[in-house]
Amino acid sequence: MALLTIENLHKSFADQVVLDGIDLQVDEGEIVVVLGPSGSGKSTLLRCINFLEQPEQGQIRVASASVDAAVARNRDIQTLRRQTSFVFQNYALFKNKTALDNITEALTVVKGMSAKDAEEVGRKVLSSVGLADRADAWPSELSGGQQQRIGIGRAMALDAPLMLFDEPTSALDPEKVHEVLELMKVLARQKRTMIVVTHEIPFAREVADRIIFMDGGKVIEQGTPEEVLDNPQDERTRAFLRQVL
Amino acid sequence: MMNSFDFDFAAGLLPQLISALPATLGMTALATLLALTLGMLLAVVQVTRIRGLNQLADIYISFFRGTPLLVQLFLLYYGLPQVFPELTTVTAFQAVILGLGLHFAAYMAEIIRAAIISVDRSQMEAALSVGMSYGTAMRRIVLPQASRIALPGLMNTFIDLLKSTSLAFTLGVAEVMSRAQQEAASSFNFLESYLVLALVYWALVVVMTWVQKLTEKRLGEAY
Amino acid sequence: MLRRMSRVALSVVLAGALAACSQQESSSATAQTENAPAAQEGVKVGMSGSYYPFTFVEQGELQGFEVDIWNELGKRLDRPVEFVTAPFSGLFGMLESQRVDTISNQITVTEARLEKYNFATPYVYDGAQITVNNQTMDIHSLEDLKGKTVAVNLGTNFENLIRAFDSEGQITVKTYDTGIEHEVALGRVDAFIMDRLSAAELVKKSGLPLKPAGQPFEVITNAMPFLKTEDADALRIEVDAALQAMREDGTLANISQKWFGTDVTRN
Repeated sequence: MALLTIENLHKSFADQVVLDGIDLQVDEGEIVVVLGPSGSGKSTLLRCINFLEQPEQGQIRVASASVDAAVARNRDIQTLRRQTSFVFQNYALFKNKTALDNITEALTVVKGMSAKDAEEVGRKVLSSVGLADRADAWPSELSGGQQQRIGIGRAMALDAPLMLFDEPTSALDPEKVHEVLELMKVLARQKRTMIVVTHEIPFAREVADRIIFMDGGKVIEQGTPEEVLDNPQDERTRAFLRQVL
Repeated sequence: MMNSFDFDFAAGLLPQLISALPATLGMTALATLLALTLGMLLAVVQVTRIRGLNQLADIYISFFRGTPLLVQLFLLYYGLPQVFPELTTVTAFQAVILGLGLHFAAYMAEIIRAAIISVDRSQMEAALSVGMSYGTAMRRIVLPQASRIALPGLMNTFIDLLKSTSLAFTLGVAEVMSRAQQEAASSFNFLESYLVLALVYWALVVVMTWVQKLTEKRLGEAY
Repeated sequence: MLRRMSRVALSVVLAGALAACSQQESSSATAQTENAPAAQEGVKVGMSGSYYPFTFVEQGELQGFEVDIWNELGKRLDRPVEFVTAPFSGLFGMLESQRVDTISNQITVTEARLEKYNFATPYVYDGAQITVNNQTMDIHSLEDLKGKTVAVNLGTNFENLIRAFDSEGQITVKTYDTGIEHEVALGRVDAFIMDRLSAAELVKKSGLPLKPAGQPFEVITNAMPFLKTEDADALRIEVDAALQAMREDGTLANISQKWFGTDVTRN
């Protein structure tokens, strides 16, 4: 059953078309990896799904929330956002909050949890990302890898139906990439519904149920990792894979 | 020709001035509160570009930065009551608070606006992505970070505001400046009077600066 | 939140605009009815508090000739008197905006002021006096001031006296809120002009190297101004009667003796 449905999504910056009529469905429990050269629109697609970018046209449905971009109202956008969680390339931890508070902030402020319940959830999440001992650390005191694990923890704690990952390892030092990918694999094994924009081909091969290749604001081809990675049909996919592999 | 420094007079004047301090500090505190609130509102209006209000905020800031404080105070206290007789019930003390508040709100708005803009855009995005409304994100995530950046600039404005309460004497408020001025006029000890007055203001600003250091340290904890 | 904020801001603006409108509407109505500055209540008296010996502050206490007069007037009118001190240049603004009921600060009766205000009966007769530095030898009259710089208190009538005399603009006039005697003593200006009585007291009390130059010119009549409204005029008539009574029973003369050692309240 489709958890996410995108119909005819259009987005342009100034006069440059970035998303050119995207249609996409993601099933519950499915793990989708989006590949594509830079400027292909893959990050914009992700950011449009929770309206960090406002698309000009198109329909987005996540679980029970549905927004028509042309007539989007603030309230509908907020409802849609609460069906998703987002992991940022640059972590984007709240700089004025400790590691624990980064995770509990939305639980109390958005979900209305009591401080005590939120802290319980927060500590559980912290230990599942392996940072139970850094609860009171400020983001500035954490390494990039640790910050991203908190960022993922913040998204996990929301327990939203759909998790979105926007190049979560691109800003990390090479030796820190591993710890973040391992954490994402754990989430994948829990059958969380995830859309991951990344350049990590081995990760995609290992965890993805489906790989989508984008270029020029369009979905060029999609399929299982074997289909797309080992037997690409389109010349643009082959060119891209030659460069990254 | 000049007589020597009259220490007894200076020592006697100090308690006089201190007894007038509540007026000075009261005006400072209330005007600061008004200026901060209004300045924050203006800054948010400008950052979010609320149509119509944004233009009003521009005009407001332009006018209150573009005209002398003393002129604004006279306009408020002496000028407007000629058109609106009800305004005569506004006391000089209230008029000064209103005048200083309106005036310095314009400066604070600019400082706060710049501070908000300097907070990385991803902070707002992250707050929205976890489901916060724009206002909640502003209040819980962006403004606390902006306040740290704005603090030194705001502190300058606070200090300026404190010193500007001395203009209240022109409206007849019995604050430290007027007290010193009257004692000087009756005793002819101008040097003593204004020197003691200067030291009183200086001491106040030193205390404020010390509070600023403490606040900066606390706000800087996370960074 | 954004919407809520804009709504709040909008309502503030609207409320302000409405208030402004309603005030405009009601202003004409109130002007006739309850615009009473002091209907059987206290009297607010404006003065500078820095015009020795008429009104001045020493050790935090407001005192002087004007203060004594009003303490007596308050008793006779059976009204509490509230003294409001502000720089002289602001006093007429306070009268205009009805923050004080009258000004007791040696206000000289002039044509221009008579057009705007009703005056109570005069209580001091005085003359304008030029005062110079001890070392100044060449100033004895208004005529000698041509080419010189003269200090006067801002908003006083002395500036007008000079302008009326000096039709060709040969005298430079500088205006101050306080401290003109110091300016002359320091040599920053050549002379100052104020009423003879204050000048004499000032020279005596300050111990500054100052002296009167020539004889006083122009008879100055001092009285208290009131707005030309019904209520203000009612108060003025009360004050008038009380001042007359004080003149007749010698109280006025006594107060004058106390501060000047002579009776300045008679022409």
